[in-house]
Amino acid sequence: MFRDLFLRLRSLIRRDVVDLELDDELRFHLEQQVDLYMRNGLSRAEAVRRARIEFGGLDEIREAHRDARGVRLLFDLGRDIRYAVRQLRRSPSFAVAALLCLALGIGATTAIFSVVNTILLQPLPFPDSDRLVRLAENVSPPAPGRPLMQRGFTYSELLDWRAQSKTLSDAYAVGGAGQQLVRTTQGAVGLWGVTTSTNAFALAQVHAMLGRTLDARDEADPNVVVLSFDTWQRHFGSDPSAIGKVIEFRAGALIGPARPRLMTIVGVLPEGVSLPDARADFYWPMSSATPFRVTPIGQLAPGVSLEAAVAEANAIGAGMRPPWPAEADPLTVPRFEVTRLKDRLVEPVRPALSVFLATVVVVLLIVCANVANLLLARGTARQREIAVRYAIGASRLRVVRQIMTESLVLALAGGALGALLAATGVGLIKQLATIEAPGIYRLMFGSTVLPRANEVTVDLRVLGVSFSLALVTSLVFGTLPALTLSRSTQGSSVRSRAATSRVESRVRSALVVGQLVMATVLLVSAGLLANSFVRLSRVNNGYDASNVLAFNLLFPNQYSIARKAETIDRLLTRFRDSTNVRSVGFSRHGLLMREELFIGSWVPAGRSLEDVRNERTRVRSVSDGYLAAMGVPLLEGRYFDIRDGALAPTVVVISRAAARQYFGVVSPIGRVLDWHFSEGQAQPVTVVGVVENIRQESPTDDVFPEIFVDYRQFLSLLEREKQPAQRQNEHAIGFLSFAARTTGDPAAVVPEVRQIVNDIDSNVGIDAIVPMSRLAANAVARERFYAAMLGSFAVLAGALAAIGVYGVLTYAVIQRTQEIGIRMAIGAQRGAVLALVLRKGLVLTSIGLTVGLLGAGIGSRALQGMLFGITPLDPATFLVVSLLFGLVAVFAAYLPARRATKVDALVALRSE
Amino acid sequence: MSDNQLDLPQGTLDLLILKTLALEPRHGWAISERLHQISSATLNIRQGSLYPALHRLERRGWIKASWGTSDNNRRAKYYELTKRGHARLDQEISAWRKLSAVVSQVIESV
Repeated sequence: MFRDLFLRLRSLIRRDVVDLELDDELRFHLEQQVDLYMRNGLSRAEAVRRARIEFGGLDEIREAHRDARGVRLLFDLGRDIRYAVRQLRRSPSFAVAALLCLALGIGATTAIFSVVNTILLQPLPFPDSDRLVRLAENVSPPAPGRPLMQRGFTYSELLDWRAQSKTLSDAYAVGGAGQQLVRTTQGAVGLWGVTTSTNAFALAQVHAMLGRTLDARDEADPNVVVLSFDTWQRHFGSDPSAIGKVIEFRAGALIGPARPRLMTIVGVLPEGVSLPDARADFYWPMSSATPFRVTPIGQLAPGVSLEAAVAEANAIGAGMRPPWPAEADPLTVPRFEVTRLKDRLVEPVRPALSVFLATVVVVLLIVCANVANLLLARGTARQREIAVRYAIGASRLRVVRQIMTESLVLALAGGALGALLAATGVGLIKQLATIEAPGIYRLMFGSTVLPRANEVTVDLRVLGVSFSLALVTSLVFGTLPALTLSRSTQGSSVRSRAATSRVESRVRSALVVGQLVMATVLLVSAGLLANSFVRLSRVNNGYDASNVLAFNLLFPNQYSIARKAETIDRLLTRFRDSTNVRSVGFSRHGLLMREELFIGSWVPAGRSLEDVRNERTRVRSVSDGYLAAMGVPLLEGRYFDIRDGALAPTVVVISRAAARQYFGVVSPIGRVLDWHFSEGQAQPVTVVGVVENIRQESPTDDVFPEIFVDYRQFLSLLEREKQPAQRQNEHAIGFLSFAARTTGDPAAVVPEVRQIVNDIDSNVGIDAIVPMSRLAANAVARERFYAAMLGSFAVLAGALAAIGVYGVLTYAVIQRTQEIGIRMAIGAQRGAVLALVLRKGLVLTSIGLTVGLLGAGIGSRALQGMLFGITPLDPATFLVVSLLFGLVAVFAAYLPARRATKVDALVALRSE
Repeated sequence: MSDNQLDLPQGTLDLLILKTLALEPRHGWAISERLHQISSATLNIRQGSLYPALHRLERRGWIKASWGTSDNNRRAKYYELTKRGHARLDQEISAWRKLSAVVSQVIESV
């Protein structure tokens, strides 16, 4: 048994040696025979001749011998593979086309499926993560017509809740720690943190990479901090001895004058790991006495459904809160929501990923159709070769096996290339999804459009499935011609051959029409997204982001308001003096910052406070120069200027929407608004200017009435109102977003700004210093990503379909060369021949386009939520796409048609 | 090939090869020559059948091959019967006897 195996293996592996041994043996035999004949008196020549004749063909013996060795099948396979490779190399254009199609199809499908699978289907990379849910209460929006706001609970409410709940086995709390100014080796930096109840890490099962996470002992001694990997790497130089070091946190922004906190670093989280749904630079233990609201994260008890948890939440919540206010819009969703953390994370991209998935399936189908077409055409072109092989005695099985081997080689090579492409593709997708958002903006926009992007890798199972599909396609369509030929009495009858090729040409036409249909659907969808993205980018956000450098400044919280205001003033003066800066200013909260302040009510002459109670107007404290630096167009009156100091009469600049709301069509310049800042007392303010409406975060934002106040006047007003220092700070100068309009490239001014800040006060930290245009681009990063992804697939599909048209018509021309030759010989004009081929192309294209447009009309509805400013049936997009794609398809048909007109009648007639 | 030569029934070549090797190891040519002589030139084994058969027998473990030197001092591949080969030969001979007896019986009686 083993000997048998050994001999077979030796035959295979050391085939050369085995064959040589056989040759030796046979030669010996031959020579013995020759000796024998010579001893019997024959001449040497005659002896050799007779021995040879008796001996028979050497190759024949070798074949039989291989059969006996039991390696025939494998040997044939090896030979078939080598033959297949040789054949493919002999027609490189076919091989390259087929390989590219297969590789692109397998690669694209695998990449997208891997992304979708990880993000939507796999659980979060924490044990039991599917049991973690977030509790939230829906509250009525700050202004009518705005989306509902969500709010958490106080810590003691959460403890109460946990005691009452039977669907939750446990819960922890997450709260904000705000932006903190931290002194590191690289100077003062702003870090964003969260506070967590000390059971959070244990419940979420997040472990430290270095040191430890927070636990119960931190209740007693809360002055400890856990750092994210990113923070540790960026600001603590990846130094393991950072554990145990004490760092000083100074509340950088909203929280007014307060003492700094000294915290000991106890741990660092692993790379890319954060508490679920709580991305932060650092984690503090939460005091159970915290007065702030927290976000409760619950752990569902085993076997409890989400519905049961929601039902219970609304029962418990109803007992905790007064009834839903009658004047607010009625609720359409449960008042208390329970959401799985994973769903919360991935829900925003689910529709887009579903569209990608559908898209890539379509691309894969087009690829399969193209490969099928290529193989069919090639198979038919090789019918003569196949017929010859049958004629000289090859068995049908043998021929089919050879052709199958060729398909197999193609599919394998395509699969290998596809795997490479998939790996590259996953990398590209991640890169395309990356958002460049420094500092505070990272927590706002995230670092990628795709949640969980860091978890995505090429999925081998998916690769296997797409590869199998490609394999089946190549085997079926590669073998079809050989099979049909062998059925048609081995290709001897010309008529049956013609019939076969008619069937095949019909199959090929159907495949091409299918491709055109699918490509049209994709192109229309991509066109809609691209159109939508262009519209989005062209929306007038009310400011001009080009040539603006944005940066946020963080002040130590020991600073008094006066010291802070004075430092700001000195900074502004120095910035203004720079020759590289045209205008400069700051806003209490910058653009693209997820924050809005609604302070008090504004009453114009002739209306009462009651009248305007439900009107919400955004209030923004700015320095003079900010509106000019941001390029907010002045529509009427003037911007703030040096006159509008603390002691001057209070003036405001209002947005166009505010002018309309408070003054209608009358010019508001010089008119007075009463600002009911707190109950009872009103401050009259005079309107000095009207500016364009500003969209705070994204072009899809609604336009909001907005009123601008100079920060110096705002501070003195708050002081006159006897507001506490903390509120003065928070409202007027709580967070400082600077904007500098530069004469040249804003990025080039970064060192100068850093230098100035360091010169004036080295305690002041700089956060997110970046050209404004880059920030603005982040606001539409998601739409850009969608358009780019779908666009690439659509272009790929369109190109493949055009190649399909080209291939089929080229092949038809080759097949009809004789007919065309005859037509020309009997006097057909070139134009007529051109029309003959073009007509076929036009018929295919128009069928494909028509059906495709119908399909797109139905399918584009899936894009509804991803479109901006156009409907899914946008006629312009449909028209442009069908025109462009129609042109491409007709061009693809024109090339073979022109080739047909160049047919030489004589050559054509001889071609059969 | 003359008319007085016979085609071997399927499977009998194995038996004959084993038999020729029963006495002593031989190389391929010697086997065919021996069969030729013993059968009084009636059996002429074609190389196309002989060598595949030899390797089939080798794979089944009934004979084993080794390179040796022939009478005229040349390198040749010698085949000899293994233990299992001897047992197999006995089996084949008895099977053949039974078969030929049955066949002759049928031929004589009908």
